[in-house]
Amino acid sequence: MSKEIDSLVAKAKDGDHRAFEELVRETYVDTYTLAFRLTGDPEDARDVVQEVYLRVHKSLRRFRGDSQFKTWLHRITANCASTLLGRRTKHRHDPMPEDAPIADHNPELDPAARADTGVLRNQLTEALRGLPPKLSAVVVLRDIYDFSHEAIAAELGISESAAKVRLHRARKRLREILHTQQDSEEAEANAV
Amino acid sequence: MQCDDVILYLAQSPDEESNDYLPLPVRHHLSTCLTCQAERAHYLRLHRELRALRDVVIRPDDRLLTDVLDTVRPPATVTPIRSSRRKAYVGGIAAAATAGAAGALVLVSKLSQKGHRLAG
Repeated sequence: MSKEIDSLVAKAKDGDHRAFEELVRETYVDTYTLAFRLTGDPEDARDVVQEVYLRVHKSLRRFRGDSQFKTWLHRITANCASTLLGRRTKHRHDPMPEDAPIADHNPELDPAARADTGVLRNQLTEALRGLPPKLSAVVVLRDIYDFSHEAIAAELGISESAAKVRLHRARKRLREILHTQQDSEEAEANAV
Repeated sequence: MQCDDVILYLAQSPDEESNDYLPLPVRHHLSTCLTCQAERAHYLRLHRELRALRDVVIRPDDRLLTDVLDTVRPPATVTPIRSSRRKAYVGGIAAAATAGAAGALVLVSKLSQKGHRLAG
């Protein structure tokens, strides 16, 4: 997949628009996923994705290939989402749409483990959405997308120390939320 | 080392699954404190679950791809639209200028007629 993308990037840099379109097709779901995780809103995520590919289209010739294309794309996505969230005066706490399709790419897990993982994953997704965007952005970028502290600081327009403090707070909050939920579930199970 | 310090460290570095990577004072505290061991297990689980989210995709609706492709349409396709807009813009200015000039002519001719009447 990476080689295919590298080849498409090379062609697109040479002005092959079909290759660029193919590049969009190959990457837009991943870009949308990150945008949705950062903004927490489907419409905002759509706006971010459009802005991302507009920027990519304009600056692809300047992509040197020092990092992987997807890493570059993720950084642009983080930057666009941060710009959009910066314009928001207050955080929206809209509930996650019931019909938001989530695909699981770990079919090798056994059914019981999948059920447990699914519950925890849903709780984690909800807990992430419950965090203020400033906190959820750093934990998404660091713990899910493996951004360095330096990259997080650069794309969110904050200092590295602020990124570390936010990360610590976000993890602590997530851990508290999940622990409280698990405790209450255990208590319910014991009561039955 | 106190529990608070260890818990703070664990929240900052939850991805160190192996004890070998832990600083000696943290390792020493963990070997004797069950509360902090439990706390560490929670953070490790949280970290693993967050990592696992990387493989979970959220699918957008089908319109998004079309919209993105429209946004990045090559200039060759977009130019005629811009060109026709520019023509319309220039045409509008020309029409406004012509109307203005005609108005000025009418005004001048009326004023000159008035002048002749007063003089007469």
